[in-house]
Amino acid sequence: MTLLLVLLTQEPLDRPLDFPSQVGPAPQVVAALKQASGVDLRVAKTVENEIVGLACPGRPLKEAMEALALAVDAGWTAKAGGYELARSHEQELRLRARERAFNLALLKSAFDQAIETASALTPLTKAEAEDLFAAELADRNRTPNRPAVKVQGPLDRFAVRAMARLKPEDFIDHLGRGRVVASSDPTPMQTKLPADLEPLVRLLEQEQDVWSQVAAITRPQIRAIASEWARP
Amino acid sequence: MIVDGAQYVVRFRMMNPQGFLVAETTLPFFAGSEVGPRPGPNPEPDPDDPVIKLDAVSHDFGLALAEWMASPSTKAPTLTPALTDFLRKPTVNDPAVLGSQAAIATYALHHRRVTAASLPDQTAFWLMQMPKKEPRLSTWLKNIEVTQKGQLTLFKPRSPLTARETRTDRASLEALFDSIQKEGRPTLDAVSKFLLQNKQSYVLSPYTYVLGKKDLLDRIFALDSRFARLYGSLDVNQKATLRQSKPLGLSQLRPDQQALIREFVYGLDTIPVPPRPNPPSVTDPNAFGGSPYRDYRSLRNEVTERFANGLPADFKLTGDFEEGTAYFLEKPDQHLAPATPRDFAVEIMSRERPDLSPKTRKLLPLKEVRTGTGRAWKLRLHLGDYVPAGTLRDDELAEKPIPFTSMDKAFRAQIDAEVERLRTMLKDRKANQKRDPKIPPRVRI
Repeated sequence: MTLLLVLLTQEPLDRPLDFPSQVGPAPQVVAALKQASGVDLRVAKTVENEIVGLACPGRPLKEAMEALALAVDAGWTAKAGGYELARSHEQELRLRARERAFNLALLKSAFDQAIETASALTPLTKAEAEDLFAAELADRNRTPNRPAVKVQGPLDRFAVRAMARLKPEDFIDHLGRGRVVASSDPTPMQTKLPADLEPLVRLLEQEQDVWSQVAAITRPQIRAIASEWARP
Repeated sequence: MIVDGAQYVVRFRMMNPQGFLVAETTLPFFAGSEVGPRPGPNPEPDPDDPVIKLDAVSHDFGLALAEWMASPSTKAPTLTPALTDFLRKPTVNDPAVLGSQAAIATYALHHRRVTAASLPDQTAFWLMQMPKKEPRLSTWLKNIEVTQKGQLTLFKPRSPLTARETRTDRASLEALFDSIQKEGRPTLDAVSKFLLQNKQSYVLSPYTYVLGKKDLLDRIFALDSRFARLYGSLDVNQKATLRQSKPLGLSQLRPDQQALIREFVYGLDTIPVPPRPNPPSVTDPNAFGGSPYRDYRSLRNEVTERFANGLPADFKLTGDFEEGTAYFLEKPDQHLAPATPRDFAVEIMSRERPDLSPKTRKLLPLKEVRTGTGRAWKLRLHLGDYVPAGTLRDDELAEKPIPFTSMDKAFRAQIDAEVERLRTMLKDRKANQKRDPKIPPRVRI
């Protein structure tokens, strides 16, 4: 009779692991994973501030490791008999590019609204200005305490037209930097205005003339209504 | 054109050749949050949406938060010792555990999938949106992007970089709560250090509400955060220099402090034009590019034009420190600040002439007065002839109130003088009213 002893070994990363849900800073969760799996796992500085969650219901350890890496846009590298979770420079750049694309899409929707509004705007006529003031007057008569109907005056029209001349790409890299000022004649603390808005300024001047003529007649009426309501 | 990254506002400004602001219009961004790419498909609606089995701490936190937010004026919720211990140690018990740990467990077990997540700080708020009795997984999933990759499920914030940048520093949050435990109040040092490390915090509010530390939020909101951050960055020697009424020049400030000051100054938007001994006539249509200004002092400069080449070379930071006995009127739901003689005089007059106070006004107790130590730091940034200033208070209340009659004599005299002034004002008003019936009959003090 021959006695055979067959020893089957399984790669540690292939071993099924029951890892109940853990949430916390990446070093804390990875330390728990290390303890549960017996595999030397570490976290590099590049991801040590990430707040992560992980649950592995009887699946191989390598799946848990892969999931964690994908969740934080990082990867595992074999190091000194163990594995280290780190985000490479390329991964960091990819993460930034993805976020930029997301924000750009958000911005584009805002710009599309401006383009749509601006394309419908023709130079302001006296009749149009009278209609806009009449709308404000009517609204004040109805509910004087409510904010007045937004009159699309020359400045509003200028802003929409100017916005339509700019591109989301002109703004995207400034988001999150706080206050950024672009100017047609920039100082060292400003950036160059990315479009020529001079023709729009001239149009603004023309529209302002029309607006002022109508306002000279209508504004006193609006003020009269406001003071009527303010009387005790 | 100005882009405000945080609020998505574009402001168009026109400056005249003299650099004065002559026209301005603001266009807010209304980019829809539903717009934008979502990598990977979201899961199909689950026909048997599982209930999240919340751990005791998350369950109690959700209840306490919902209760407190529903009626923030009521007293703080009663907390279990386990929840209190959990909340006070955010370096050990991460805030993201609340609700999310149970949600991830529920998802992984329900789908038998490896599930990993990168969690933004807002997760603590998500518990509020869940039904109290049976929190369902679908409610939690609404807040996060879900990606399926082979056998793996990934939960990620839509803007991971923003989530990273707005993450509350756990150590500074714990230090803040420790200082309250130790000092019995949020000290200026602890609050300013927290603000220095966290420009915004999604964790502070829910924790503060649940822990019943509303005065902490009051104190933070009452502070000018720009000055508070600057104060928080000062080391012991720099504070000592300021206390001796000596200035700190740019060369005495570290690069990170100089960056804070630049952020402060260039965030000021527009500032008043420099004073002139003989300002141009406002009636001259050519003086200010034809703009109808009523007053020279109303003219403003764009800050990036006034300080076009960076901070002025002679920039300095100065400060005053005041400390002394202070008296406090207890004002529920208001930031506690030392009461002035006028505050006390108004209280006295409200009793003497109740007809002059709004009916809803509650009289504050006067028989006994809270006393304590009033401390105030006044910081000033000297930018040539423009000197923005801010006061940071660090008041401390004594444990027991004192009788009104035991107040400092000089302070009492100021109150009496103020009361007399108000009486005279009311008497004069009545006399004038007889002469001119147009004067409104009711006067509020």
